[in-house]
Amino acid sequence: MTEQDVFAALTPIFRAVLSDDAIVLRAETTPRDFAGWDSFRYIEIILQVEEALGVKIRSKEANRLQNVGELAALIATKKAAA
Amino acid sequence: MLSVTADPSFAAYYQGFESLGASCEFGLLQRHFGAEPLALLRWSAIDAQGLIHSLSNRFADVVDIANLSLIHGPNDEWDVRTPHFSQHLYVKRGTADAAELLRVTHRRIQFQRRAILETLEEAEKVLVYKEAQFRMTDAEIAQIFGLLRGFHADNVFLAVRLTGAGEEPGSVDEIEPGLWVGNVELDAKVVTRDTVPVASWHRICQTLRPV
Repeated sequence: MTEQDVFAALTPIFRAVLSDDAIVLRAETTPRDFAGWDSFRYIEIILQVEEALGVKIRSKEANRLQNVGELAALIATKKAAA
Repeated sequence: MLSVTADPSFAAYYQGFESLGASCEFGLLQRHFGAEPLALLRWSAIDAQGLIHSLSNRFADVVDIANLSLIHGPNDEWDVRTPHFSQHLYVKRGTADAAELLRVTHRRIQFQRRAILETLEEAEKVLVYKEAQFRMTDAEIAQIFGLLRGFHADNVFLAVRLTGAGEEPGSVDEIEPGLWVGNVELDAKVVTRDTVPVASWHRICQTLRPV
C-alpha cells in the first residue's frame, strides 16, 4: 500500500468524521486547518483508520503526528511491515 | 490569570505530561500551550478514591457499555458517567441522538483506556493529579504513587494541592524519588480557560522536568 493509496483511504474518513465533503488532504495538512477539530474527533479518525486499514496505532504514535503526511507514512510503514 | 505567553514551542513539552484528574485544569493548561494529548482523564472529573479504584482494576469498569450513562453536564451539555469518573462530552443536549452518542463515546473511551494503560506502562510521561474541592490525603498520594509504580517502576507522579497557609503557589518538592507534591492557587469554583493559574503550573512543571 503506497502513501498515495493511504491518502485515498484517509480522505473519506476525514470527510465523514469532520462532516465536510469538501476536504482535500495534503501531506502538510494539520489539525489547525479544520474547523471543529478536537481530540475527540482525532480519536474517531484513528479508530476509523484502524478499522478500515487493519492497522493498530498506539496513542504515543498518534500524539506525535504533526500532519496528515506523517499519518499516511505511519500507516504505509505499518502495512508494509504486516 | 493567563500571564505566561502561550508559546507554541511548549506544545511538545506539555505532551510529556498526562492528566489523571481531578478536573479539566491541567488539560486546559496543556491547551493553553497547544498540546492536545488523547488522554482518558484530561476532561474528566475523578476524585482520589475513584482514581485509586480505576488504577487498581486497570480502568476495567469502562469496558462494559452498561456501566456508562449520559448525564446532564454544565452549559446544557452531556457528560458521560462511569463508575469512578465522569467526562465532559462537549455536545449540547438536543443536538445528538442520546443512544448513538453513548455508543460513540463508549467506543472512544475504549481507545482512551488503551492509551492510558500504554502511558502507564511506558513511564515516559509525568503523571499529574490535582485535587479539586477536597483535600487529598498523604495516604491517598502514597497509594496512587504505589499503584502507578505498579505499572512501571520509573513512573513519575506529580500530586498538586490547592495552596494552603504558608505554602507558595508554584512551589514543588520531591518527597521521594519519582514523587513530587506541588501547590497552585485557584480562586474560581469552576475551572475555565481564564482561571487556570498558568504561571504557577508552568513553574512547577519546569522545576520537575526542565525544558
